[in-house]
Amino acid sequence: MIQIPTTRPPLKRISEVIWEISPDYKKDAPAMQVPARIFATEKLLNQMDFAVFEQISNVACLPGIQKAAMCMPDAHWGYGFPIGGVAAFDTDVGVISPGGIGYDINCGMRLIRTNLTAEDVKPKLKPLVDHLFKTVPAGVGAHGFVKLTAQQHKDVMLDGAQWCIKNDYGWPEDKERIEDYGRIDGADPSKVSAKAIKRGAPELGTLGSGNHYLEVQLIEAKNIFDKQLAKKFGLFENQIVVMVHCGSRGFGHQICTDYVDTFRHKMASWGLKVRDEELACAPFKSKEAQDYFAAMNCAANYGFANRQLILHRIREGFSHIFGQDAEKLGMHLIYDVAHNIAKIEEHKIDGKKKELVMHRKGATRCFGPARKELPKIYRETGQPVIVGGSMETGSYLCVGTDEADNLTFGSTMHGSGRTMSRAAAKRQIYGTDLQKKMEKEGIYVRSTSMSGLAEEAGVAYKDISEVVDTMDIAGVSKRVCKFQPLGNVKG
Amino acid sequence: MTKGKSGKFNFLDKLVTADIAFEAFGKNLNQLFENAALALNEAMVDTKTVSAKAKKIFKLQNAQLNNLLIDFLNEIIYYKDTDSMLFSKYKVKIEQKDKLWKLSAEISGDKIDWQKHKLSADAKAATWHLFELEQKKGKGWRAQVVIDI
Repeated sequence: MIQIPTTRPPLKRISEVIWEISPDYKKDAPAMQVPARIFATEKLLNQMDFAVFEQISNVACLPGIQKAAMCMPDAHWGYGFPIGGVAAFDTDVGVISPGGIGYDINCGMRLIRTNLTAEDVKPKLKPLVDHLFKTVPAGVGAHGFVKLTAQQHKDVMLDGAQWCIKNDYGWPEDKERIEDYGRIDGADPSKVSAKAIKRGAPELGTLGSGNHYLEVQLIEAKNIFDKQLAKKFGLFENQIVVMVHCGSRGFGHQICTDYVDTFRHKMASWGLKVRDEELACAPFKSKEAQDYFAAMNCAANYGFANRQLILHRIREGFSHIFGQDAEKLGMHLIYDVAHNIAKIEEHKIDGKKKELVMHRKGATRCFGPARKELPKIYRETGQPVIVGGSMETGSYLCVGTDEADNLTFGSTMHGSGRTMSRAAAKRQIYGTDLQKKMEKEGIYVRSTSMSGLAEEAGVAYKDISEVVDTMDIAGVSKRVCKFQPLGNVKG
Repeated sequence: MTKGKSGKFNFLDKLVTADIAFEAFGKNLNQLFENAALALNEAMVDTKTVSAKAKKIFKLQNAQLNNLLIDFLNEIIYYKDTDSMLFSKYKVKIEQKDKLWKLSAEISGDKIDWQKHKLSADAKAATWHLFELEQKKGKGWRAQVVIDI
């Protein structure tokens, strides 16, 4: 029987919001190579399940890991890596681990602005949300509205969101406002199984379910924390924006399943021992690792394309309800970020630049103005960082900092993180009651599953403000504004 | 723990936060796999609302029994996504031959219909997280599986 930890390892507080587990905590092989670092206020630290500390210290044992294995303040336990886990590996001697990216490859967030105000939208909120519920496919078994040929599916794997834009599902400017311009090089469809392709093809352009959603949101005056930056991002008080949270659907999941299986069977031959089955990994230079990375990039591109198609439907929906085209409504994409991904990035280790395989699982890139990866439009401000909260408590826009490079390899939180199990949430809350309660509070929700809705209640999540404040205090990502939910579509 | 179908499976509420975990039982391997399939589908839908209209028949094999169970559950998830189906009846036969575990399965269900089916979570993968598979002398088989949703 597997033992769930009942105690926390010794923690050393190294700054107001940074705590460290010494490499001495696990000295027997496979031993910790680096410390584990947890970013959290004391309150969030005390809320973290004990398994998070075990998991992140297990990650610190992986070969080639650099500097520290890190946990973001929204961390909770996951497969191998905790969700909210960040780890960087030397490309020569390090590994790649699908558990450090997550099953839902390139799950991520997208933020879209409008010229509309609360007064424009509130009288039409119900028809707007109802229309988006009808036109953006969501929920178990939903299929997308774009029917792809086999060749087109391959093109999506290679070109991501740029395929969509070329085929009139977007504006040319959109690609500049997506991480990696919506298309990651190094994707290879021949490394993706027939099963993944068959699973992915019908689901492109669908929202999914669980904690995935699209949300119509409002910026109240009191929730703009940096007026100058907000203005530079095209945001203003009383403005309506739209946020999307979804990933690569069954396509990414199947790729992860396929390669975890491949790696598990080969680890002994590579002489790799890990403390947890789900930390299955491969030497990055091995053929199997390179195959996985190429397949992962296909899923990453699929995720960008998925959110691009959903944006297309959102623009159409707003146009339909408000009787103006989306350009006149000012529906520019602000940014799209991935929060389950591995990237090759250059970072400084002991003052020297090094190429690393960055793993971010439930963690968002937050580059400052100095990073060349950012598009021209954000080289002055730093990267927009979109942080999704629960459908009751709201979400945030933050901005990346140059200091983040030194502290977290340019990484920050992705959301608020769950504190309550899905079953516990359903025992406390009925979906229909929650829906009525939220409507009384001015939030209109449509969902394909009432029990799924109950699972996503605000009480099941950490306090997102505390999570965001942690990384603001640390200097990693700074708050720009907070968004109040008005309308939500869930699968 | 939430009691599932008596003697067949239970949901393990306290084991995981963001996902679903269950333990399934069986006097023999065939029953264990059938009850694991039931637990998986019950995580997604009230299977009483799913008629057994269409069949999927498939075979799998693996050198490791634990891998076979994970593969079996992921095969059901695969059909759920490719064919938009959920399943309520399962017939599984497992035998060991030439150092390989061989499975043949016939699962029956229906196309997903939000109006007809009482839907809950969407299972995306059976994982190795906290996975257990054991045979207790005189008590039959038990499996513990975490489903990513």
